[in-house]
Amino acid sequence: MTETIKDLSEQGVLTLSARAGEPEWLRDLRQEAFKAFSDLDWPDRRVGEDWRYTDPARFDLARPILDSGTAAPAVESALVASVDDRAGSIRIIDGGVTAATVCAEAAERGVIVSDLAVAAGEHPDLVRAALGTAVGTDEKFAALNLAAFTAGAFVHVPAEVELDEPLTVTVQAAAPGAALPRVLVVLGHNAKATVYVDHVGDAAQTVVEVVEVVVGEGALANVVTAQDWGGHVDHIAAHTGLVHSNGDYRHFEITLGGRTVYVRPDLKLDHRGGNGELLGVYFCDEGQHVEHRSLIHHNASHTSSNLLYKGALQGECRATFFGNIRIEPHAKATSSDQTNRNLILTDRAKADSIPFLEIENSDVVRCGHHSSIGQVDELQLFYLEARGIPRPEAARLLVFGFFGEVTDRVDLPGVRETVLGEVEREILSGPTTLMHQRRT
Amino acid sequence: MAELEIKGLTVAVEGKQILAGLDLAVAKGETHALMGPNGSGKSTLAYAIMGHPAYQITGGQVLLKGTDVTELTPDERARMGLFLAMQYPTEIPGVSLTNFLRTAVNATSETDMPVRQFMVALRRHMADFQMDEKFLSRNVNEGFSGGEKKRFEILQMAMLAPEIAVLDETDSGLDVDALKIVSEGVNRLRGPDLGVLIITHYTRILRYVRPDYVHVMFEGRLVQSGGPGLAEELEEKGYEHLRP
Repeated sequence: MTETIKDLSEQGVLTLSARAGEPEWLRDLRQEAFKAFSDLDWPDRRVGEDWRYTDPARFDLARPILDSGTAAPAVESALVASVDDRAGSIRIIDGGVTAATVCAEAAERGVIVSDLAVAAGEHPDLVRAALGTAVGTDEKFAALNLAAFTAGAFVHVPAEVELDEPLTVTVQAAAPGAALPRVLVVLGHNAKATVYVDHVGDAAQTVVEVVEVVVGEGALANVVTAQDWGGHVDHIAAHTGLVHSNGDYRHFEITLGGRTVYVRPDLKLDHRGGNGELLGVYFCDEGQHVEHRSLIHHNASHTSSNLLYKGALQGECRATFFGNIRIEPHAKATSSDQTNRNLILTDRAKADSIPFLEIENSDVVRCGHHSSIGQVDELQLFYLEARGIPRPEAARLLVFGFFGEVTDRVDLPGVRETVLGEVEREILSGPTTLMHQRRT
Repeated sequence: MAELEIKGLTVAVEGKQILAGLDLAVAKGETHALMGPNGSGKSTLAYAIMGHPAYQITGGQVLLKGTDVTELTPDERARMGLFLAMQYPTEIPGVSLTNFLRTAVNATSETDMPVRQFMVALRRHMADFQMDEKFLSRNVNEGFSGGEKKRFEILQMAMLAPEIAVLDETDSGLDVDALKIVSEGVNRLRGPDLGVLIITHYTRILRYVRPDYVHVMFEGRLVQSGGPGLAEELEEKGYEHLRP
């Protein structure tokens, strides 16, 4: 495809669909999405809140859309590499799915791990019922993705099936250009699964991504999304969980790499008794710009949510957390809590923390938010140093302790070790970090 | 040679002079009590000895085993055998007591103690200080009661085996039972290889940990030194008659 995001045409979308051999309904869905996309304005920093902290110009829209997979050596993040036993895995490189496997035992139980375009033909009912339901077309980039996603992963875990081993989805940036990957995860009622979605590679890419997770009635989805890009990738994404009655969506966002990462970790509690936990850690260093913009939507009664995002910053960089909890008038007896904390390790790093609440009814069990931006506590450092622990080691302990509050809440293979390992690597690689500073 | 020797020490905090030329020497095997009313500079001395950055040494010396440590960082001083039991131990969220102590023991001993050996020692000391096993997984001082924090300070002292220990108002905020546990702990650690400086406002702890020497401080310098009898005298008469 020679079109760029900027000059994407309806014809381009139709060509894309035809080339993938997609069924008619999917072509129509793309067409509708393209119309929504065309009707929406490009982000403007001067209009509204959404782009107040991130300059949309960071996303180069003039890059050609990559519509096929690239024959590149497969790369995996440390997180996914640490998972030995997998129920299935799928790999997207640039604009194509290059591999998809599901283990025999999972396949026998009806688990599907497949190219989304293929699944749309083979399992039209499953895909059609879910695609675009968690992430629709109400935002420019989300609409763009639904209209023109070039490579998709489809993961389906049937009702009552519980998977012990994680499923992995790897999104890899290998060639320069624009990539539009889409990941659709569907859990039937009372299903239980863990899905790791990791993002690797260091090509000069604009990545416009959607990860939508539909959690069936009483189901439990553990979803880990890890941004482990190199410094040439600009990534904008919607990572959304749509939770059915008494379902449970537990999302863990890990943002370490990338030049720009602008992620919307959203939660849609549209059905009674749904629960969601949004956890996140980010480590932002020299030259990075990171924004996490979360909307938790309590759209049914007896729903509960809990958000904890913690980030550390070093070098000239910026990290923004914007979190909104919206509780609709009919969403009675809800409970929600939102916390964001930032640790500034060096000068020149800038953090924003903006918690927001829109509560439309008075029948709320609990709704709280907490936010902080601070430096490593000198009293804590002194206490550790007074016990013989050198300052770099003391600071490392404190940063680990800071992130430990989040990682301790995740009991998934490899997550804790990988996050803390990566954090350590980031700290040690920092040119002028606190770790190397001597007291003056 | 005294293990800890303080010579003509002057210390300022935020530009305000607190210590005004203080001399004090503590040898191994000795226990000294430093007493004085609030605001006399007792805690300032403790922090200055340990090297807290907010306490600026403007003159004089702090010698550890003959070496002037005033330019050394707190961790370097700790590794030379100095220990400070703090008046207000800091809570450290996310850092488990076990992880913290193991890091500290390895740092001060400059060895890598096998985990098994470390845990045996830790459990033994915890039993001595009547600290429950569940503390092992708790974060450093987080949610500890006042008494638990002080017991943990002395437990750290036991684990780190310093040569000079400064106890900054370790008795404050303790009920009688906790005071006994802490005092017994200190007494167990006393011996020919340890010099102790107990900083206190009250004579209460000195009934349990009997000092060899007692010093009285006023306005940043020592005004009187003597034997254990001096503490008894202070208990009767208070500090005012010693005001210079």
